[in-house]
Amino acid sequence: MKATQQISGAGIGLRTQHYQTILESRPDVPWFEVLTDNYMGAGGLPLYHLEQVRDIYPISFHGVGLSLGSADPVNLKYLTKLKQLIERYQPEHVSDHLAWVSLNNHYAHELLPFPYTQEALSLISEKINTVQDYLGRALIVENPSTYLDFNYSEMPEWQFIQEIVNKTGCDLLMDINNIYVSAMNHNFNPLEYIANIPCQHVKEIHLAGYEDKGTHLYDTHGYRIHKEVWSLYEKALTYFKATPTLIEWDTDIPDFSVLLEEADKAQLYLNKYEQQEQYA
Amino acid sequence: MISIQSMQTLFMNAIFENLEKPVATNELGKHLTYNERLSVDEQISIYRDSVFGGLIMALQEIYPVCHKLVGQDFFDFMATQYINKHQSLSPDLTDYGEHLANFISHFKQADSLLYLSDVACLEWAWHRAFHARDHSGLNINKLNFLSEEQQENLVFKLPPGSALISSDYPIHKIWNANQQGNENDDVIDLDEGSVKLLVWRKKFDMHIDLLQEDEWAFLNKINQQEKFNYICETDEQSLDIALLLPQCVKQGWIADFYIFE
Repeated sequence: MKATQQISGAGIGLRTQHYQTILESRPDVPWFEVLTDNYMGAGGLPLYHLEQVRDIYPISFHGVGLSLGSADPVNLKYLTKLKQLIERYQPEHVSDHLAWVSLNNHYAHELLPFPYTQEALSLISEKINTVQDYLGRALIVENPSTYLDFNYSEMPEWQFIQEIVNKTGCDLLMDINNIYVSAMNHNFNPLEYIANIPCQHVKEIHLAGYEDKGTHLYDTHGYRIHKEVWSLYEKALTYFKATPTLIEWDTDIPDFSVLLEEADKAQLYLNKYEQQEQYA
Repeated sequence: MISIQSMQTLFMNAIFENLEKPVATNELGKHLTYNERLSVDEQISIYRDSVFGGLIMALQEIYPVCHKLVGQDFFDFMATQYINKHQSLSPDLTDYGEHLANFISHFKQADSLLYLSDVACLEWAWHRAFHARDHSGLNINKLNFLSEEQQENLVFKLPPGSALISSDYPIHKIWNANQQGNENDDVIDLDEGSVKLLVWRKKFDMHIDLLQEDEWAFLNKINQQEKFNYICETDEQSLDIALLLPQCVKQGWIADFYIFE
C-alpha cells in the first residue's frame, strides 16, 4: 500500500458506479474522497475495490456517522471501526459534518440542523475532542446546508465554527455550495460568512450542484455546479488559498467524464488563483 | 430555549410522527425562525422527505428484486410503512432492512404475492454474504494434525455470512429471472415444489446453491455448530456422513473449523 501522500488539486468523490472506469483507465485525478460509511462492512468487494483505488491514488475519508451534533455520546463501535479503516487505508484527511444524524441510537442517516447555542458548542467541542483523542489526529469538520433556523440560536453559524475551532483545534472543510444554499435560504451574505472563517484551518473545499425548489435551494448533489457557486468559489480561494477541492455528486450519478469536466474546471480556478498569487 | 436533547427528541418525533396529528411538528415550530416562503411543516418536511427518501433508497438497493416485482409505487408505500415500524439502529446503513421479509409476511397489501417475503429473505441473505468477512476456504490438510481429543471436539463452520433458506416457492428462479440481462418470457411454475438453498460467497463470487434434502439437513447441523463427532453419532442412520462431508467440502460450503473447548 502506498504511503500517505499530500492531497492537492481538484479531486472527485469515489462512487461505486465508477470503480471500473477508474481502475481500468486510471484517469488523471489527483485524489479521491471516500464515503467512509459505505465501507463499514467486514469484507467483500467494496473493501477490495477501495484497496485497489488506494494503491493508485491518495484518498480522504468523509463520513456522517460520528453524529457530532447529537445529544448522544460518540458511538464507540463506529469510532473503533473508523479507526481500523484509517489504519488500513491511511487517508490524508478524515472529515465529518457539523450536524446530527442520530438520537438515542436511532439513526436518521440524514444531516439534521441544530441551534447555535453555548450548550451545543460545549457538547460538540467535547465530542470532537473525544474523536480527535481517540483517532490521534485532527478531525476536519464540514459546514452544513440548512433549510430552517432556530429562533434561539445565540450566534451566527460562522461564529459557532470559529468557537469550535478555538475549543478543539479541529480543521475545516468548507462546502461552498452549502454556504451558498444556506445564505440564500436564510438571507445572509455568503462573503461575510467566508471572511469570518479561520482560513488557516481550512484544509478542504467541497463543490456540488444544488436544486432550486422555488421556495428554497436544496443541496441535492445531483447537478453540475451552478455559476453562482463557481463565482463564490473563486472569491473563497482568495481567503482559503489553493485548498484541495472536491467535486461531490450523490444522486443521479452521471458518467465519470462529467465529474472529470467539473474537476478540470475547479483545477482551472485553482491554477488561476496560484498564477495571480505568483504575480501579486 | 429548549435543551439540545429536547429539541432533537422533538425533531425525531416530528420526522416520524403521524402527520394527521402533528404534535411534535407544531411544538418544534415554536422554536423555529419565521420563514415567509415556507411554513413550519414545509421546513420540517424537507428533512422528513430526505430521511424517508434515503431509507427507501437504501431498502431499494438491498431488495432490487422485490422492488422490481412490485414496482416503484408499491415499493415506496411498503417501505414507508416499514420505516415507520422499524428504526435504523446502526450508523452503518447496510445494517438496515433486516426485518423486511418478516414485515412483508404480515403486510396485508402484499397478501397476493405469496413468494414476496421469501424473495426478500433471499435478498437479505445475499446482502449479508456480500458484505461478510472474507475467508480463504477450508484448509483440509490442517485436519490431519488434530489429536484424537481435538477430533472429538471438532466443529465445522459454513462460510462467513452464509444463510440456509427454505421456501415453498422456487425463489432462486424468481431471483434469477429478475437479474439484469436475464429477463425473458419463461413462466416460473410456483407450484413446482419447495426449495432449500445456501446463499454464500466464495472470494468475490456470490452463490445461490440449490441443496438436496440430505445436504440441507447436514449443513443445518453444521450451522448449529454441533460437534462433528456428535453429528456422526446421532445422525448415522439418516445421513451418509462419509459421502456428505467430502461433497460439502468440495463445493466450498464448509469453510473452516474450530476445536470446541
